Amino acid sequence: MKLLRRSDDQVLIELEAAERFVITELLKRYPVLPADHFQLSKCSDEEGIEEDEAFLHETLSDEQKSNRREITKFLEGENGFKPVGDAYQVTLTRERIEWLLQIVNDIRVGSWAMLGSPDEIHEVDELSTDPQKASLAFAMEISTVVQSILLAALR
Amino acid sequence: MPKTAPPEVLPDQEIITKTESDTELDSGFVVVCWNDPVNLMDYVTHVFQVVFGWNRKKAEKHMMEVHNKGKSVLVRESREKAEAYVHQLHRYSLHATMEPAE
Repeated sequence: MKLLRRSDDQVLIELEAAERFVITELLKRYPVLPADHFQLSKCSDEEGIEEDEAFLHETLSDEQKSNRREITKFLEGENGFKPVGDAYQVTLTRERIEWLLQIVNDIRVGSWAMLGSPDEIHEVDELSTDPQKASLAFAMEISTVVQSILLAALR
Repeated sequence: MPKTAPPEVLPDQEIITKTESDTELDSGFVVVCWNDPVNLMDYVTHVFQVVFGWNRKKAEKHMMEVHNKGKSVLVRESREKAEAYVHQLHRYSLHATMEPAE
């Protein structure tokens, strides 16, 4: 996965076929982090906070559904990965990169939460024998790589 | 007899009584970002820049505060604006809350 070209408002990224496959499978996992994962406030006795938090969670849930539909459009539509020889290319606007950063970090943080929120990934029990845990750790690693490339593209 | 000071000539402008701005009057909440072992430092810096419109230096300062001290107070705002910021930070999967300002 490499950055081919960059202008003020968009970047052109090239991926090998295997990279495209892995990233496609990664994006299909979204959403991983439950919409009610985060609290609005630690001060839950503040008047109206519970209602506001419920509203926030509902809004995030709706946004996740909308993002899920957008991911499908992105992966299947004309603005997704285009075959160029043996590789694939994708043009991303700054807005699209920003959106992808949110999607990929949901997968990254959600996978981490499902692994029990460890301080270090190697602390996870049965990581080398449990396929489910290995898959979550793999998703975290791939997300890290994608995130780093997207952040570099924005600089 | 003391000399009378010449009258002060003021520019022709509307007199504005100095009051606290709306934000100051309604500054009941702080937005706090909490440390976690999962979000990348570079990513957190980027999110602060995007959400608050900060330059990289200021965003990095707050990111390092989160990293070293466990949390950073990002802004002090009205309840409505603080909620909006927390919502934006949750979209990026950052651990942020709003707390009543002391």
